[in-house]
Amino acid sequence: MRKIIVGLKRVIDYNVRVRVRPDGSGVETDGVKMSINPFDEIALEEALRIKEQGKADEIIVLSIGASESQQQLRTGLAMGADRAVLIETSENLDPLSITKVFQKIISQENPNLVILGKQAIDNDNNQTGQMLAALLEWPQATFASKISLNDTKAEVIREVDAGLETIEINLPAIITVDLRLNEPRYVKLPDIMKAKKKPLDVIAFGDLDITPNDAIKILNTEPPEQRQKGIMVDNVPALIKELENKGLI
Amino acid sequence: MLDSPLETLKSAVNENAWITDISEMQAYITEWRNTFDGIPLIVLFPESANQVSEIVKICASNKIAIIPQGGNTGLCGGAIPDKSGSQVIISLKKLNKIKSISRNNFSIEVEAGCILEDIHKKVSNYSLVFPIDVSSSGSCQIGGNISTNAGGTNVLKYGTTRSQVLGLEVVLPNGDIWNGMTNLIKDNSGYDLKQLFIGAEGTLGIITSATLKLYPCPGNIVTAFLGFDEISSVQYLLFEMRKKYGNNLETFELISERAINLVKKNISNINHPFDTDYSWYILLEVSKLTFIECNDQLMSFVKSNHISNAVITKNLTEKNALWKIRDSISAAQKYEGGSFKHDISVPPSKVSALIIELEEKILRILPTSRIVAFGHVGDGNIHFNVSQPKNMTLSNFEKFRKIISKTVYDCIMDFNGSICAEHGVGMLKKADLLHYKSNIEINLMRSIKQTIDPMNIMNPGKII
Ligand SMILES: Cc1cc2nc3c(=O)[nH]c(=O)nc-3n(C[C@H](O)[C@H](O)[C@H](O)COP(=O)(O)OP(=O)(O)OC[C@H]3O[C@@H](n4cnc5c(N)ncnc54)[C@H](O)[C@@H]3O)c2cc1C
Repeated sequence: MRKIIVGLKRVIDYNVRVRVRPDGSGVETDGVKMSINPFDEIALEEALRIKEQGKADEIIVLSIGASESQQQLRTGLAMGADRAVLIETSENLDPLSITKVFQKIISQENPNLVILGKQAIDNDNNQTGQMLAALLEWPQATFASKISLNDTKAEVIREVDAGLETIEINLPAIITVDLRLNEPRYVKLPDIMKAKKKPLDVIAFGDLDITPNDAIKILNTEPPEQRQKGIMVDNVPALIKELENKGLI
Repeated sequence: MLDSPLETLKSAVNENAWITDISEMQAYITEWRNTFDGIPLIVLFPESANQVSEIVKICASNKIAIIPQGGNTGLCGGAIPDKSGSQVIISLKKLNKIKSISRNNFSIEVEAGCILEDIHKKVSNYSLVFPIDVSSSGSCQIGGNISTNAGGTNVLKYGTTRSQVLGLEVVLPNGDIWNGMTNLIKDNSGYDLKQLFIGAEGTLGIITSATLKLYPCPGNIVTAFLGFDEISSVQYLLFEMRKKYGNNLETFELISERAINLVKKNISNINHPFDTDYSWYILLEVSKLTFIECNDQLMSFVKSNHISNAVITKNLTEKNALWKIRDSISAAQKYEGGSFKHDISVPPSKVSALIIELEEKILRILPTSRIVAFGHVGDGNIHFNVSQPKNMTLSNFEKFRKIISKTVYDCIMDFNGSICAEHGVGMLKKADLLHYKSNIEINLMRSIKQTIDPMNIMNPGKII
């Protein structure tokens, strides 16, 4: 059976104005809207399209995090994933530990393809895909903006600084996706209904026999310096005058 | 030699805080839909209530008419001067300070020229909300919202702007400053004077500051978009949702197929959630409900054949995309030629009956007209707009204005509704108001106006 594993991380919604806790211990999440990391949603959408083209049989969504992440997994199932796995932990694991969890699940499930977001928008680490490829010794294609598959290979267009790069990799492989790959679908009623019946396994992180990596400690979180408020000018002469006053022209 | 009134007016505000050159006035003298324009003597930008008072005193002693103006997003010509070149526009845009927030009282003190969206942003830092929300919130001012008693998309849960006002500071037509900036929920010490100025469209005085109510954030809200074909379903859905979710029902906006199609056609980056078209859509928001519970609720509506399909948003990006559809309807119609706008309300239980009857009546008069119906039906408010037929010139279409609007308003009367639901009267509906209100009502309004503004200098020619 041709399987795809997709990672789904629960993060603060992209549209929320993130606030730092007054004591610097992190960012405020109380009563804040949480969603699937947008890059992960794009990864899942791509997996669904691959399956719809008849090039995969099963899509598994995997999340690592607190119990609430089940909400995001259910959403993933409603989008069309076949089953979900939550590795439950209240700890804030670093990318290497997360990667080891993926490695473990991959060794059990034997997927042909793993699609991840290029990064999660909370910590912006951009590491999991790359480290996973290294640990598994699999080929990788990062920052994908187009993916074409056949039975043994994937052709991937990557968004790189210089423009677009097209590469071919053997399967199984790790692909991390960029923003322009696709536009994720809305979830419609019958699909949400179906999702309720799909399996969602919850496994305690402690049962996986992985020692969390403690090489990184977050010491303090600070908000960025406030940008000065812009001003509105009524017309071009006023704009020129303002710029002159500020010595900019 | 005594200065001319014009020079005295200039000296009442800060240096250069005025415009007399007509070529620089465009933003202040034409209305959003280009339906009204005027030529004032001067546009003034006072920065304090004292400066406003000073201006009003000068105007009072020279019998100069005053046009208070907020963000100039009003839709009835209320903030536009006549063409005489003698009226003075007082723009409140420089009175834009947020004075204080009282988290314990759930209230905020603002100057009248604060942009509505700036208030939203400010209070969100405290996990609070100010619930008045309109599509123009990036430009309209709180003083304008209060003066038009603005409605918008949250009225179902929180009431109109009137329900949000705890206190006001108003410059009266004689220049006196009335300080009614209380922070009291109960205050029965005589007539509730602030109510007079709320919804008065600047005809009784100039609001310079307000104390407003704030509310705790409702927390997680699910947003759904429902598609269905029978307008009568709207009544069932509204009743069921209100019964079940009470005050947690946040939004219930109706959108017709034609409204959506115009948005898709004329506005870029619109992401329509369904592959099939339905005759009607509802944008629904409920707080304190989970995705799954919402799903179960909506499935029961599918089973009872009240809706055909629905999507539930999975993130705020999708929610914003749906709101963009709703918020673009007015703009989308601008590309379709002339449109007769009717901002009407009926008791919420009669919305679908009214729409059915109006459509039938209007199509009998002008079968090729394109009806665009949408609105805040949760509170009984419908925007019933009749757009120009594709094969008809604007001037020919204009010939139908009278008969179509009369038909709409007569029908509204049969339903015990209102011909001015949330946008007010201004110049646009002045004659209609006279026609449809009783003599007793008109006379009472006139005597209030006469008492507070005996010289008729405060926004003359508006409302009555
Ligand atoms: C795209 C769009 C969508 C809209 N949607 C809605 C909606 O959903 N619901 C709704 O209710 N309205 C809506 N409106 C109408 C409009 O935005 C509101 O009426 C708004 O409240 C007006 O605020 P403003 O500051 O622009 O006032 P203006 O247009 O400047 O003035 C409106 C009236 O108030 C008076 N006024 C303004 N400020 C003061 C003051 N400080 N003291 C005394 N009088 C004053 C003016 O003289 C005038 O009569 C919409 C408008 C647009 C363009």
